[in-house]
Amino acid sequence: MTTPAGLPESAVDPRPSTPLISMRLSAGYRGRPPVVENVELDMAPGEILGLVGRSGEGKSTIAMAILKLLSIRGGKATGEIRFRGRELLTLSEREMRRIRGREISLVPQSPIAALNPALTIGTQFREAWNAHSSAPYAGFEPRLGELLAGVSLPSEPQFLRRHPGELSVGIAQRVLIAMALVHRPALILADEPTSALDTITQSEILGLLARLNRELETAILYISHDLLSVASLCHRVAILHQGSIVECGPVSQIFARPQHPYTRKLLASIPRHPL
Amino acid sequence: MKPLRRAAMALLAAIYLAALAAAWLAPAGYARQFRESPDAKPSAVFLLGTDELGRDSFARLLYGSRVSLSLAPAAAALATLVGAVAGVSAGYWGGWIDTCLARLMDLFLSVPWLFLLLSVRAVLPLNVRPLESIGITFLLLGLLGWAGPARVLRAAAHEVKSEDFMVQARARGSSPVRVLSLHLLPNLAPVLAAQFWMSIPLFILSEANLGFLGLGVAEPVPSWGNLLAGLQNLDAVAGCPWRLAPLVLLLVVMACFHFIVPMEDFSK
Repeated sequence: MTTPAGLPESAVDPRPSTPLISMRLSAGYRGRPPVVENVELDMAPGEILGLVGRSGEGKSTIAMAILKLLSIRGGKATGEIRFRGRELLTLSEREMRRIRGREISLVPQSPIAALNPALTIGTQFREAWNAHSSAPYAGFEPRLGELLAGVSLPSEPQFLRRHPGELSVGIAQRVLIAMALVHRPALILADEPTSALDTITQSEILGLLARLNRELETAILYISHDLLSVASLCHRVAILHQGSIVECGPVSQIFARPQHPYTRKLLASIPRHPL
Repeated sequence: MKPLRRAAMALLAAIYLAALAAAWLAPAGYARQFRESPDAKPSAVFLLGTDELGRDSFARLLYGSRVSLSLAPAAAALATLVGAVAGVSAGYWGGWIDTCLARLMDLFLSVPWLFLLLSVRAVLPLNVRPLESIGITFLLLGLLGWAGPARVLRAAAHEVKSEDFMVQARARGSSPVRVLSLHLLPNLAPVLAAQFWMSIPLFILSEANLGFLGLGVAEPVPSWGNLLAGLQNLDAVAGCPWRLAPLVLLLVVMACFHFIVPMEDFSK
């Protein structure tokens, strides 16, 4: 594991020795200075890692680089990303497609915008299924019912016939989480999944992610600028500042004894309860 | 739907149905000559009179409408299809494909299309059978008119491409074919439809222009173009307002299309 100089490895680190994913990554967009430089991160299977930083620090860039989709936004990543023994950055688009959605899923920031407005929810589930399975969709439907129930969504056919425009943001986010789970990925990249939600829905989604992690042992890279949600959900936290990881360790340690000035500043900015 | 739009659609449908029913409404046919009564005035027998060759003008107008109103949509469909393939490819893939196609679109759009049509039509044999002339005219219109729809679809595809749901579909591992067919095209459908509807009146007018210059659909098959060409003779029109019927019909149909394609779709 990588920690900034001077920080001891945590004695209570529960992770087994083989990481699920480990990366040393630089990434940026054409014609601009690199957004992240030599970011070193690793995650154990079943771990929830919080990636914290202000807006524009490159958190989403890291998620897109892991999926090798940076090029959509005109970006490019260099370095290495080892995932389950494979080097993602050297994989072909075809090989990478087999990983996206099957082994690594994305839960996005704006749930309504991430669902195609022209298609029903059912059609989009079917697409998620067909992307990686040649087995008939009818065989998946019973499991879809369980999956929807698991994220507290109604599983009746009327719900699947609805369009994204008819859903609330919270419901849409549950739909996307359920879609991310269709193929039981080993890793979920949750890119600020609660930032568009009100506080009650936020805590429901956080509870849902924690439960999925417990029950399915899915690792989650939880990207957020909200330290409180990170504290409640994550096992470990990495602080991203000016394109580098300035501090990384178990949540209890970072929150109790922040080393880097930027981490201290972040912690000091958490709104206190007025009473 | 606005009442005006509904009325325009109904009127257009009525005109088109009348054109399709030409064989029943005007049993004389478009080519039969009544030599005893050339240049006749409107009467119970000849609703719009006859032309200088003694052919029933009403029959020619109906049959001409059939040609213009059937083949303009066909040309519009062809132009929209070619435009969609070019525009979506350019907008979706970007890079050098986009650069080449965008230059080609600019080229096609900057050439004065009437002269382009004229010169291309002039290269083709002038002495063709009437049916062939119909095919050539509208194939030409369709193939030369792709650049307008292509440019609009390129912009639309480029816009839809970077939408979150497109990124999400790729993050889900969907194949390029699925991303295109399931996500891009359904979201371009309104733009495609608008382009199609907007192209139809354009092609009706283009055919009329070509026909007016004698390069469109060949005699004796009537089309709005060659019917309008008959108005070139001012002496024949003076004092015979019924001869303006093709022009009136053209204006009415243009107005109908104007009301059918809502203005908000133009901005897309």
